[in-house]
Order: sequence, then structure tokens, then C-alpha cells
Amino acid sequence: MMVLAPGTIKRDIDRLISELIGKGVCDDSNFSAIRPYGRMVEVTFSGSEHVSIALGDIEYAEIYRELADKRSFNMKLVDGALLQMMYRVEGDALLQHRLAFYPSPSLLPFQDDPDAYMRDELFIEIVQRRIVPFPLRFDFDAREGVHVDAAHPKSHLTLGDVKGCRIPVSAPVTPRWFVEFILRNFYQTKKHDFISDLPRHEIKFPASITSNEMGLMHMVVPY
Amino acid sequence: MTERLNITRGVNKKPVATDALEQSLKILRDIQGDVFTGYPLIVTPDGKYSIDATLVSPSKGIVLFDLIEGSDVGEYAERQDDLANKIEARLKLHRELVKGRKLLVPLSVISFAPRINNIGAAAVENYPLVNEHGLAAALNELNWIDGNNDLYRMTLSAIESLSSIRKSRSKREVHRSDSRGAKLKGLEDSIATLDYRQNKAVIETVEGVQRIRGLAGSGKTIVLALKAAYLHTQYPDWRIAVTFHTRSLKAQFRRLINNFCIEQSGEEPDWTKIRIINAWGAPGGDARDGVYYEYCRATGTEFLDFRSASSRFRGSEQVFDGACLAALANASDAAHLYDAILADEAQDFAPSFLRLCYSMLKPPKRLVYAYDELQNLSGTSLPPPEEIFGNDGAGRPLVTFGDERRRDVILQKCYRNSRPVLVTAHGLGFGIYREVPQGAPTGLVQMFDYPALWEEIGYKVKSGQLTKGQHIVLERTTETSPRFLEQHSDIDDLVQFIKFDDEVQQNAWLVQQIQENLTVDELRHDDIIVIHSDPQTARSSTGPIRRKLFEAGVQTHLAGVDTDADVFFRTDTPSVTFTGIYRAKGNEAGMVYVINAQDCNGSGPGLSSLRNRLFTAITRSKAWVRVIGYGPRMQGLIDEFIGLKQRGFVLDFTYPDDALLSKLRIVHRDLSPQERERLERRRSQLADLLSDLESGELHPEDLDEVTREKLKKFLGGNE
Repeated sequence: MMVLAPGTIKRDIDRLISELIGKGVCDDSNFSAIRPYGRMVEVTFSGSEHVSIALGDIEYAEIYRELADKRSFNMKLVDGALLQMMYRVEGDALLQHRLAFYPSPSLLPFQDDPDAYMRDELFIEIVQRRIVPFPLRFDFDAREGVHVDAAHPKSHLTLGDVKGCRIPVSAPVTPRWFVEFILRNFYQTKKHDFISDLPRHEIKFPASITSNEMGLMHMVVPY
Repeated sequence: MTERLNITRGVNKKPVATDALEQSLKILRDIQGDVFTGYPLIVTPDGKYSIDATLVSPSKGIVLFDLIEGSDVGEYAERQDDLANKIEARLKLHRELVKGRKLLVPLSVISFAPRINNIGAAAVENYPLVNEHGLAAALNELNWIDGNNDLYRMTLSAIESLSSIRKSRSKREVHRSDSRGAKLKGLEDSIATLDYRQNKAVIETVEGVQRIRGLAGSGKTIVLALKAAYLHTQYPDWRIAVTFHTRSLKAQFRRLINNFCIEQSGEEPDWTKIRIINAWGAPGGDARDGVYYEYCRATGTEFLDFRSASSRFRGSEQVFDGACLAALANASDAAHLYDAILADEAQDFAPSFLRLCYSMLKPPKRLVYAYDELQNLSGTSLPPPEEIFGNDGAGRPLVTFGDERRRDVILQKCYRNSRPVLVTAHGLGFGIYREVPQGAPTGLVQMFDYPALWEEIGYKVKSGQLTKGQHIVLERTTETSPRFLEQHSDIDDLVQFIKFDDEVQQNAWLVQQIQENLTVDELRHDDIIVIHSDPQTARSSTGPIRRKLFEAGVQTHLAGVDTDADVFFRTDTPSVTFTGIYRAKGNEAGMVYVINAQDCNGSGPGLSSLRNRLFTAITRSKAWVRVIGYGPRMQGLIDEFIGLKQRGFVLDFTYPDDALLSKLRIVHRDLSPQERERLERRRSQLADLLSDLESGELHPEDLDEVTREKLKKFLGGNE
């Protein structure tokens, strides 16, 4: 197995941002940064200190606005959705990650009207959003005492910030896989291709799923 | 010296006494100067003060009026002392008005009580208290012996600037006195106060509809914002809406109104009373509210969002118009929700939106709409008010301005663009020096239907005659385009047109320039805007440039469909703004790059729109502008610019006659998508026909005689 260096993760993130800006799908971004965090090293972005507000009992629109105002994101996409990517590395192993997608509570999802977005039509913000937007998050936590076999998988997907929602995932998720997952499911259309030019995969994480978790419905990252 | 008395009518809470004062002052023959009512407003540690009326006169100095509506004079002597002290303290901040510790201008206070007949009984010695009959005598007592014209002008400007403020976004740090950053700082300091006309436009609000016209950069937005704040300060209970077309203006309005309210009253505005809202709006709370949406809610009419309106009304320009018309037609209840509505960028709205605003107002229907007739260079931007608002039951127009100047304000001076920048925008926008296409009568792309409009927007006839069909040379004067706007830099540095071999080369140059601006020129990130003229390709064309800058460590953002943040320029994070033309409107920056400008050149239908975009893009510049692109169409623009520059930035052309004007309107008109499609189809059919003729698949003789003759005639071929 390869040795994991924080620089590799940062490079992965920067390449993705660069590609998405070039394609005109990323409107705004924050530079990523490597910072020491106790005995660990954190790969994060400026504004990450405001992430915690997303965890309270606040209404989604409020959470979104707070994150957007405080610029707590790696990227803001064409339809206002925010992407956050944070990794913590201890020694040469990944200890935690938090990869979140926060769609705009008021704008239409990109796929509903991709042409209007790409043509930058005026008044496109004047819409009644009919689909309930919800955030999704890929969390990984290998700290002792946090994960619980089957009940709290090390790597899991949480939908809509729902407390008990932890869909098991086979392994930690790389920035490259996370961004592709978002683009493929929420942005790709027949006419608008954001995926085929994505930079190649540079990182592989070892599996973290337990056999009990494999017995449940789960997601597999194809490393 | 001033010939007579100029009166600027603001609002105060004493309308009857104000009217009486105005009448009494008007009949005084020997008084000259300026009168303001309901002005100035100042804030002191004791709270806010609104001066009922102020006279500034070269023979009297400053006279403050304490107006008394009823018959109770109260502690008027105390009020007079208070007013004089407060204003004196403020005026003493102007060094040019002080000598030693003394104010050079006499400052007096007169209490004016038109309802009191027996003045003598209430008067206190040495504190003038008069009614209509005593006013002349009281003023006669006052004499400014050492007054001179210069001092009078300075006094007037000090009084006017008591209520004007334009703070720049954040402090500017400059280390080199000749850097671009230093030059911008100088410019910003010079335009920090309003001029006379702007100030008048701020203070005067009419009972009814008021129109404010002016060029880009003449201060319309500031005037509207200050006016809203002034009204809010004077009438805290009024519901006031400020609305606009370009979303990115919202933050600007908020900042200006907030600053002004604090300056005037020491308090933050009550945002539940003074509302800065979108024209359209959508459900989803206060931040997304809009005038049209509110109207639909209040009248119980069906609300259409962008998508449903687009599918119902074809052609994106007409979508909002369609929605407004439908709402007006279907609303059964009247909804008088506002005491005043101020609409900016009215040139971008259809008349139906203004009508909708009008119907939402309580009598006397205080609607103020500001527009730039040039942003739509065809000169047909908005019909006259009689047409916009229609007639009442008796067939009389609901709104008409007549000759009343207060109802129809024109701001002639342009404070944003220097003369070379503005004349370039007009020259290219109209195609003044465009090469005459083969077989065409003129190179002009478009022209105002009314020649007189040129003078209204601040041009002067240099030679020739400003009449249809005549040769004319127009120039901007130092009066309407102040010199200080152009003197900071070499004229060759103000405007540059640059051609590259291709897009890649253009982009590489741009990336290098931006880095230089940030590192060498001491410009801030928010001093730079990059504008791509075609909204359809703004994303794809700016992407590669932004990518390069990101990789070089320069933060950028694309002004997008961003609902919540409402910021065009970010003040917190240093980031260079990229934008399509629509979202650039209403904003300004020191350094403007207009990229892929070749897209603004062409021929035939749609050319006037393309040139309008170029015009809008260039006029975003407070100091420097770089118009860049590639290919032969870029060369065409460069040739036009060279023509303009060689003639010393004057517009030298033959004004089209009526026939040519209507022809221009057709040749370069805008086409709806359907029309465009039909035209394309016809063209390709014609091309097929030609290629068939060339290849011999079809012979001219295969066409019948009549058709052949007709074709010959239309195409104007030789016999």
C-alpha cells in the first residue's frame, strides 16, 4: 500500500478545482491548505472553521446561507451548491475525512435547466424550487471509540444531515471520487460533460468496511 | 453671481409653513441665492436635526429658518441658539470657511410663523420672529459685507456636502504615488461629494411620478439611494421600496442607504420600512422577495417564476413583461402597499413593470424611476410617461411632466468615465467611424431619433448643425466631463484596443496583465473586472482564463446566479471579478478588460445589440479600459478607435435623415429566436440555389422570367 502524504491529497483537490473552473462549472473557490492539527496534519481550506455550524438544529436554508457567507467551501458551483473537502492524516494513515455537498436551497438543481445555467441567463434565480434540497456527506473516522461495527461504519454516507443515517461505504473516499460522484449524479447531462476530462486517480485508500457491514446494503468505492 | 433665487424643495413635517415661506421669499425682489427646504439633515450627539429651511445668499450669508406651523412659538429662542450652534460646528469643519476661530460666513436664524398675526406679543428681543409681513424687514437687517462670489460658492458647496457621502469599499493602501492604485485613490477622493444637480435630485421628490435621466456614471444609483435614505429619515413610517434590474446592485444600494442614514440620523435604517428588493422576486423569504412577487401575493394573482414565464412568453427579453402584463390584467384588488417606490435601471424594464409599481403606490403615487437612455443606444428605451402610464377614465394622461423640471431631472455630468472613455463608448456604440459597408449608405450602426438628445447628455456642437441630414461634429465639454477624470494618466493609457492572433494569446496576455496589476500597479483585486460580452458563452470563455489564474495563485470568481450572497465585488476576500455583460451592468471598477471584443463586431441583424454591449462594457471603467480580441472583426474595431483618436475624441458624422434612421432600425434590429431561425433558413436556401447555379445543376433559365426579373431588381444588379 502506498504511503499517504497530505500533499498528495491537496494536489488532488487543487487539480479538481482547476478543472472545474476551466469548464465553467465552478464560480468561486477557496485555496486549499495544509495545516498542522495537534499530532495530525489537516488538508482543508480557509473558512473551514465555520463547518461546525452545520451540525446544529438550524433550518437548512439558514445553514446554507451561513456557509456561503462565511465562505466555508472549497468550491461553489454554477447552481450555488457548495463542496467541502477536509482530510486529517496521522502519520502516514488517513484518520478522518469529511466530504460534503450542500445544494442551494433556492436555486434549481443544475440538471433541471442546464442550458439556462450555462448560458448565464438573466432571471434564472427567479424560480420556485419544487424539489426539497438536502445536503449529503461522506464521513470517515478511524479513531478508536468512534466507529461501531455496523451501527457506525468507519466510512459512511449521510443523507440530509439525518442523525441516524449512516450508509456503509467500502473505503474512505478520495477527492477525485467524491467530485466525480457529485458531478455524475447532479451535473452531468447528455450535452454537458464535466467528467471525461477530470484528472486521473492518484490516490487509493484501503478498504475499511467490516464483514457485518458488507452484509448490509452498502456502497463500494472501486479502487 | 446668481441671478435670482433657486429653490430646492425637500420634504419636512411643516408643509404649510414651508409653502408660505416659499411664497414670501419668491416675491422678495432683491434677494439672490439658494433656498433648500427640509435640508440639511445633520446628526449630533444630541440626536438628529432636520433644518426646516436654509437660505444661502451672497448678500446675506446663511440663514436658517425655524418654521412654526401653529400659533404656539414654544421656546423658539432656545431652538434658534441650538440650530445655529449645531450648524456652525459643522461648517467650521470646512477650513476654507474659517479664519482663525471665526466662521467667515454670517450665520443667522429666523423663526417664521405665518399663522401668528400679533408677532410682537410672542417675540423675544434679538431673536427674529416674523410672519409673512415681517420677513423682508428681518432679512434686510442681515448683511454679508465681506462676501464674495468664491466664498459664496464654497459656502454653498459646504452646505450641499453636509448630506453627501460616498465611501469607497475599503481603505486603499498605496506605497507609490504614481501607481494605478494611487491614481484611483485620488479619483475616489475627488468625487466624494455630490454636485448641485445631483444634490437637488436627491432632495426634491414630487407628489407623483418623477423621472431621472442620465448617462452611465452620472450618479443615478447614488441619487436614488440617497433619496430613499432622505425620505426614510424624514418619514420613518413610510413604506419605501428600492428596486432594480441587475441583482448585483442590491449590495451597493444597501451600503449607500445604510451609510447615508447613519450620517443623517445617527441610526441604521429600519429595513422593514425601507426595502431593497428585486423587481421580480420569488418565494423564499425576505432575501428573495420582489416587487412583482409581492404584487401577486397582495392581489391574489397567479405568480409566474422565470421558468413558467419563459414557457408562456417566448423570447427572453419579453418574459418579465409578459408576467407583469398578465398580473396587471388579472388582479382584481388594488394593492396600495407603498408610499414611495424608486426604480433604478428602468431602461431594462418594460413599461408594464413601471405600471405595476405605479399601481402599488398609495396616492399621490410617488414613483421615481431612473434610466439611462443610452444603455439602449437605439434611443427608444422607454416611451414617454403619457404612454407608459396610460389615461384615466376621462381620457387624460395619468402622468405627464409638462415643463416641470423637478419632475424630469437630467444628470448631465459623467463622473465615472473620463471623456476619452465615454466618447470611445459612444463612438463605437454608434459606429461613428465604422467603415461604410459595400453598397450601404452609411457606416453608422444606430442613431438617436432625436438629435437634441445629444445635448441633453452633455455633448456640445463643435461645428456643423445638430439636425437630421446635416454634418455635425460633437464634443464633450469640461463642464460635463470633468478634466480631473482624464488627467491622472496618459491618454494612451486610458483606453487601449489590442488585437491578438487568437484566443489563447489573448488569454495569456490577460493573465499576465492581471498579475502585474496586482503586484506592480497596486490595484486591489476588486479594482479589476473582466467582462465577456456574450452572455451565452461567458462561462465557457472565461473558464480557461480563470483556471490559469487559479493555478498562478490569483483568486477569481464569476458573478453568477448567486441568490444569497448578493455580492458582485467581494469585500472580504481578495478576488478578481469575471462577468458576462448582463451582470456587469450597474457596476464599475478602475481597470476594465473587455475580452473577446471581436464578438461585438459584425454586420446585419443584431449588430445594434452587440454594439450596445460593447458600450455597456466600456462604460464600466472608472479609469482604464482594455478592449481586447482577435481576428479581422477585432481589426475593424481597432480601425474605428484609431479614427476616433486621430480626431481628438470628437464625433464627426452626418446625421441620418428620417429615411436612413428607419433603415438603420431595420438593418441592425434585434431578431427574435424564431425570426433568426427563419432568416438562417432562407439564407441557406439561397446558398443552395447559388451553388446549384454554379455547378450547373440549375440554369438561370429554369427560373421563370418574372422571378428572374424580380430578383434582379431586389439585388440591384446592373441591367
